[in-house]
Amino acid sequence: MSNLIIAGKEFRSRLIVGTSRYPDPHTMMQALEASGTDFITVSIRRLNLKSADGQESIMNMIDRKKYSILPNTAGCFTAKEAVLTAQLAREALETNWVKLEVIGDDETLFPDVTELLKAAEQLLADGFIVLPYCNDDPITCRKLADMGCAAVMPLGAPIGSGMGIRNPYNIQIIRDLIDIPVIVDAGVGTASDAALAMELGVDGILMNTAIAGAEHPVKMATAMKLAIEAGRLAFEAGRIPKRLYAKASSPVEGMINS
Amino acid sequence: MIYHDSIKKQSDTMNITINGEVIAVNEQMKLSEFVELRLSGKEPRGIAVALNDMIIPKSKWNETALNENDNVEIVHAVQGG
Repeated sequence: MSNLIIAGKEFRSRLIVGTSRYPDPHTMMQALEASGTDFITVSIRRLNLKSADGQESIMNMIDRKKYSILPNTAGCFTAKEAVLTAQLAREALETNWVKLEVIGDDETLFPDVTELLKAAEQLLADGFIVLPYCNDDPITCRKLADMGCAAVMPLGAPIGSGMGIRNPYNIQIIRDLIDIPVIVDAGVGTASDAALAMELGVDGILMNTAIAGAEHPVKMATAMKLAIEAGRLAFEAGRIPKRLYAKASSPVEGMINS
Repeated sequence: MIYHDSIKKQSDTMNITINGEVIAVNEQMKLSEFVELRLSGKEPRGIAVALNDMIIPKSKWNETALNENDNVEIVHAVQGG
């Protein structure tokens, strides 16, 4: 099985995993291990300066030799906010990689395409390696690719919805249209969703809630690892064409005649 | 000039907004001293500081002076998807 390469960097796994919403840090660490991932996302938030028990920096738990870090701009509604958040992330984490998220509203968490394109342009000019979370819209994806983004990350379904790949045909068109890696980001609910996306030929999947929110996150992380490997292998193997009528698999010659 | 109601402006202090909250600090404070005070002894590792929406690299904190009504953000990485 071939490896995922983004912006010249080779990854061991085709699964990118979010670090949010696990029952506890220990379960998160075990789930990350079980998923086989070597690329994880984090968020940038204000430091709690009032109490010592504020949200701990996740970087105290993460071995950066083992995991590459992809900071996101989650929660940003404008290009301005997203650009500043990405710049803060670069300073805090010493990485110029960013998962660019500019959302349109709180209910759907769908991307705001005009703000996304604006932010992507500014961040690319500022030397960032930009991986935009975007709609499953081939034209937006092509624009992002033409601009110089390192990958496009169309959603399969709304963030955290677990609805799977709602428009596999668009994902397939996006895969056909552009030359940079396509990562399905958001929407995966269970292993078959991940396998289906990989069978469409996408290069990887980014997920968080599907693992963190499962009844048994570590088991689900293992399931996702296997599903992504299986889906990728099936894609590389080249599936048989679908046909309406049967085609015997056993030879017809040499049948005994009564 | 308009000042936050709850904060009395005194001659030797200035108002600074830190992570969305207005506080009064000594005038002529440098960003490096300000960050050190806010962190109350914690190591300034894995954090980033923005002053009025501009990133100030750690190497420049010492030469950056704070001014009345400046807006400072101190952030770090947390769990995220």
